[in-house]
Amino acid sequence: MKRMFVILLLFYSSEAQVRQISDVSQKKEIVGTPSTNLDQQHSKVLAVFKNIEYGIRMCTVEEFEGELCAMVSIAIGSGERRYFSMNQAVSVLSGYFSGRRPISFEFSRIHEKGAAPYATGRLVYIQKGNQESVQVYVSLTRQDSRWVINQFNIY
Amino acid sequence: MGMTNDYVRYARPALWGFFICIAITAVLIVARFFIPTFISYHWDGERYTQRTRAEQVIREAFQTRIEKLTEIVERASRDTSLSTSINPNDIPVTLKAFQSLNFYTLNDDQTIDLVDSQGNVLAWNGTSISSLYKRELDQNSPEPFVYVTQNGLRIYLTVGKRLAYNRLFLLVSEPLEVNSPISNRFVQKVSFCSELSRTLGTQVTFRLPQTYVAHQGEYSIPVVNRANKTIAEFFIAETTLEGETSSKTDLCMMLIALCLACGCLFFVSTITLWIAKKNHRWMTTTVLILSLWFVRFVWRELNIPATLIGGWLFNPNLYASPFILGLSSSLGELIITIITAAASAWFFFTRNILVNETKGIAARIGSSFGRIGSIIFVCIISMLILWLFRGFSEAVRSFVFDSTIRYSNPSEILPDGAAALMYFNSIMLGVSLLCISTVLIYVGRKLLFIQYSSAENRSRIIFVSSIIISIPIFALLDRTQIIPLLRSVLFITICIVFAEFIIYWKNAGFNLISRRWKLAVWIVVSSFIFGASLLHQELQQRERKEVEAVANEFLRSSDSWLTYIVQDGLRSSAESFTVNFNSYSFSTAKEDNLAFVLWAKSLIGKEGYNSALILYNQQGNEVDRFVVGMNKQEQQNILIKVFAGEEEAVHVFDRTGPKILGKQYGAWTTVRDSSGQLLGSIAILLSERQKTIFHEEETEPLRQYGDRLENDAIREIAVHEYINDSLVFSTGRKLYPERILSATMDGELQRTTNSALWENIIINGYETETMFMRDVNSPKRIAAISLEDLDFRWDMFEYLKEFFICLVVLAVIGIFICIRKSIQKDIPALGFRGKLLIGFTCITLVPLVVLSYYNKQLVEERVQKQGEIELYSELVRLQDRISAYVSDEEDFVKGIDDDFCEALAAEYGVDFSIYRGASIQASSRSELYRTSLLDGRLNGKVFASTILDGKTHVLAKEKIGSVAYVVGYTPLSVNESVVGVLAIPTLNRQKEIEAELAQQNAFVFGVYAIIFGIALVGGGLLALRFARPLQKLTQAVENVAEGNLDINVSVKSHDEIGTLAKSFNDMISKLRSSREELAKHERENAWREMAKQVAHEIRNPLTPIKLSIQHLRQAFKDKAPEREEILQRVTQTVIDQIETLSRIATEFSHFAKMPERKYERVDIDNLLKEAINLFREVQGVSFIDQLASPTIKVIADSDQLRGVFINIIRNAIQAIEKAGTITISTIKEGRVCLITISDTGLGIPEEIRSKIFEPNFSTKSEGMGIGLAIARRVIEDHGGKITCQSERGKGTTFEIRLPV
Repeated sequence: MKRMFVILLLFYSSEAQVRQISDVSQKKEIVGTPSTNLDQQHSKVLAVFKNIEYGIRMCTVEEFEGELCAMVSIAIGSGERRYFSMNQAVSVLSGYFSGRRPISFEFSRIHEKGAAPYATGRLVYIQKGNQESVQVYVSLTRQDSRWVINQFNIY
Repeated sequence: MGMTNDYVRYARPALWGFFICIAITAVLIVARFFIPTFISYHWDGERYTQRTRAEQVIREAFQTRIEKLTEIVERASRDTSLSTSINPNDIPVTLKAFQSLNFYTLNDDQTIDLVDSQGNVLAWNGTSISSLYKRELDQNSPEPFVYVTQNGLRIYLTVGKRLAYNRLFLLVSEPLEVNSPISNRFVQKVSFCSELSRTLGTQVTFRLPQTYVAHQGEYSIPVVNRANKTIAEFFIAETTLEGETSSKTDLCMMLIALCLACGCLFFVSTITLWIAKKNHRWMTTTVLILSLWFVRFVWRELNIPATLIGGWLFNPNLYASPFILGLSSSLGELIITIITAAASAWFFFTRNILVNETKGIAARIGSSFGRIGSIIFVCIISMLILWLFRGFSEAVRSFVFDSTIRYSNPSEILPDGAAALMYFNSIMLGVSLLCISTVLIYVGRKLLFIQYSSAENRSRIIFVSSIIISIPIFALLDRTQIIPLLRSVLFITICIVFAEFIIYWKNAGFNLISRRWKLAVWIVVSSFIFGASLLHQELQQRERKEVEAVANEFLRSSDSWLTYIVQDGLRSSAESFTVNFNSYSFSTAKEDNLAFVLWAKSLIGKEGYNSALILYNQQGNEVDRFVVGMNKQEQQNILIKVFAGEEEAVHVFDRTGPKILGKQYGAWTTVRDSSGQLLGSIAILLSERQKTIFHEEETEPLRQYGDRLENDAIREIAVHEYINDSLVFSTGRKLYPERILSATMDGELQRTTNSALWENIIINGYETETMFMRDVNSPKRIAAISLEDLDFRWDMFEYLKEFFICLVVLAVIGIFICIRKSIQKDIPALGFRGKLLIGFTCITLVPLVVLSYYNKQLVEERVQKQGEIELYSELVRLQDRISAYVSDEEDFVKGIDDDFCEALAAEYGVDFSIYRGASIQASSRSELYRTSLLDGRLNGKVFASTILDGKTHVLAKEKIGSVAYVVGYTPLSVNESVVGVLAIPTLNRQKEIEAELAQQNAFVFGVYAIIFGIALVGGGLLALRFARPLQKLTQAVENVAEGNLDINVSVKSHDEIGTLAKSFNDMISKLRSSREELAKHERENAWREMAKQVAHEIRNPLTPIKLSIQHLRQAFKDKAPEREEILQRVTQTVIDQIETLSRIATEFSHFAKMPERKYERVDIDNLLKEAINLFREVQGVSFIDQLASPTIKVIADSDQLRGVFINIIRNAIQAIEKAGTITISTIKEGRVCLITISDTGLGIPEEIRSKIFEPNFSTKSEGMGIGLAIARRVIEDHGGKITCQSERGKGTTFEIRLPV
């Protein structure tokens, strides 16, 4: 009886295996089809990301501090993710960017659709004479008909 | 003169300091420009030096590690129990060896193995490094040998030695590095290189030999063992010229900033002392305050002291706000700013109120504006105060909202450092506010007092009315409405009451300067009262915001970050596989733990979420799987849905259980080589439930949101979900709500314009604060979060903790006063009352301290004990179950496998592992062992206790990453022989300990604090009661010393103090009698003297009268021709002498009977000036008057008083021989006016000094010698006192004291 039970478990686990491997097809997102309203939303989101991209490229928070949420989740390096108020988030990010001379930054991937658009890119900078790079991830959320930054991760 | 001396003493060093700082700054600025050139010129040499240094540092550090392990090996090798031959079948000897090995490791990370010449481990303590050591053993040398090896995730340093007597080997190891950037949650980070990086100031990495090639900009330093074999390589990122220049320039800039900061301090000190020397009070105060702020701003610009101190105090992660131009950019900056503000406010307060500079201002304003203008001015003052209070409220709001400080931690008696500092900030900011507001109120009061001709009550009524009028005006103008009006009214009331107290004390003649520290205590306590309530209100607001944020996260369809890391994990795993592996790798995937390797390198491993990575080959068969924290059922459910969807699309799945919060994510992708040929595929699953690994870990619903919600250890926080008003989900245990949402609530939600609606509702008899939020994307869906209400004892406990900080502030003030007084050599003596109070305080505090120390230990022991009992019952339960399943050893070996364990774990709801001998045989969490997250070798102590020693239950502490577990072990027997060991892990129950401690703290210590308060108050009252009679006695003694014997000390007690008082009264009575006797005797003597004098004085003129008459009679008798002339002469003589007699009679009459006095309010200064003016023309005498301003008024008879002054001044003039000075001064000392008249005359000889006030005593040729006697009588009749000090040849000083 016990062995039968084990066999059944093994059989059940086989369900987890891939039945069919499809050819690589174009990636589809989970969200619905675009419409004119959605186009407007997308353009607004892209505009916000553009601001943020510029600010990160200049290693300055002033460019996008007005676009921070009331409570922003920030994770820098190997530190834990924490929630900060807008004021504190400005200070934390300013502290991070100070002392770093930017070389380049661009959002390599922007997912502007859906309720939580995000963008990510690689920031290359010089600090104390050494060139380093980090990956930056920024996501937005809707607040009072505006798109604001609710998460900012640097890793 | 004193101020000039102070100025010279302090200003000169300050000026020197300033110039030195400027000079150093100039040198540094010049040096800064030469730094790049200098470094560039010497760069080759510098590089060589750096490399040499790095090599030296690394080799030394490595050598230190080796020596530490060598020392352990040498000590253990001398242990005789390890030197005997150890046969695994010889149980006592082997057991002894295990017990001995326990003593030698210094920490949990170290491992010590006793190994035979074949490399088999015979006894051990710690994590297994290798199952077979044979390769590494140096059989030939008796000296210790060293090598570095990798086992699983870690790289270890091992030192071994062959034991002389039994040819066994002792090997001690400790971890150096963790291989992957894996989350601390799974593997405790150990990094030898991070210490080296910090020391050398550059990136250092560590590799095994021939596993890494140095990149550009890196160089390697090999480390060799005694046999000259490279055992490890360090790769150091070379410092670039730019980096070195930047580093040196930064250092130079920091020194410049430091010098400028010090120079600024010296500069403003010099300026302030120079201004103070001029003794212009207003300017001194203004300059002092401006100087403080100037220094503050300059230091902020120079980033001092943040650059020097650094650390968490200046880290914006803890607190940061844009207030006041960057002066509160971190907690450290905020503290400095607030101390500056408090110091400025205190100076402002003491100068304006205690030193009474304000009245002049009030008078000037009043004269400019008139009555109506003054009322309007008071209204403006009131609105200014309200505006300041609003600013204070916003600041306190910022303390809470712009910080990540955890204010409330009920499991701790004292607040933690950051919270304590914030409480301090709120108290000191309150002090500043109260000081400034009180001054403004005081100015307003004085202004109206002057305007309404000093009619105090009328001015008070108008003042209060003006304030009342201003409040609604401010409410209309204030658009932010940040504070409730009632709170502002309360604050203004506190300020008014405080100002009134100050005015009362001033009018009563108290010296506020000497009482300023008592005032400081009142201010600190008052600011605590209104500050603490504001802080707690803001904390409540913050908590609500956090709950709303949690609800938003609950309602959102997916987390973009989690979606992203799944996609990134897929992408990076596929790329990593393509780069590093090939299609053949799939065949050995399981042996190579390929799934784990890919997982550990990805962002998912770094983030630490519960997740799974599954590898499939080309045919779609699973070849390897790594899972952590997700059970098979969950995985199956997700995989089915994931594979039904598109490739690379991230699928989000809702909760998998009725009590389980958190979504799950899954995606899959194919892996192809460079030519596009399919190699296999990868699936990634991720669970939002971050914190659980084992079954038994309770899914505390909101732990995934970190520590954002405070007090979750002591109260239930439940999440509910309603769809179409029906409850579909709830995590509540006590707080499990009704199944149907009430219609009123639904209606309220429809009506509210806010996204969240807060209500106080009762759930299952528990009072709660519940927040409701509707999903904007799906209006039929409502999320609710209920927070159990805590009763007042919890709040009281938090207030007590904040009050403790208030007491610390008062203690600091007290210490400051003591230090200041000791510098002035005026050490205050602790009075009897103070000593009594301190005694009472110590007696009550000592048990509190002892209780708090032992309480925590008791609670921890009790909770741990409880946990052990539950763990033992689980062990027994599972042991019985397994024993029932296994009939013989073969069953055990073949039947107990991972699938069996997983099935049983699901059935019993508890994870477990089974060891056969020392090795893991099967586990419900086998992936944790395969991947070295858990050690596959049984704990040495457990092995010895269960298998060798036969103990039935053993506990041991284990760790996964940063989380500690307690693991219970019990032997598994088949046919009465032990075949294996069963192990069940359980959480360390830290949360339960915290909850229990919190309960103890809030209830026990809250009550204890009340008792302490009662004891303190009672002690104070008792001390007062004991001290009062003594004070009365002391006062009485002082009165007696001043000559007043008309006192009686009334003490009603019948103890020793009562006896003392009675004896004292008896003594005074006797003294009074003898004094009266003496006075009577003296009076009689005086009368005798006076009678003698009168007789003498009368006799004087009578003698010439008699002689003249006799002469006349004789002349007429002799009919002398000149008898007419003689008659004229004689009559003239008689008339003269009668005049003399008349004058004598008049003077004595004046002495005997003083004329009627007319008491009126007399200006002392005017009287003195009048007296002085009478003698201004006297040659050789100059007058110096130092009369008090404002002039002092007394109630007296102006004529008599004037007469006294004239008398004394006349005496002074007469005492001056050729030229001299008479100084006249007045000063008000409390309720006494002191008038001093000094001359630089001949002085009064000591032998006659005591007689000068006696009637008819005189050293002059003319006069009756009763002038001073009359003066004394006049002064004494006015309730005053006159004394005289004199020094022969130097002059005489008369002091007259009159009551004001």
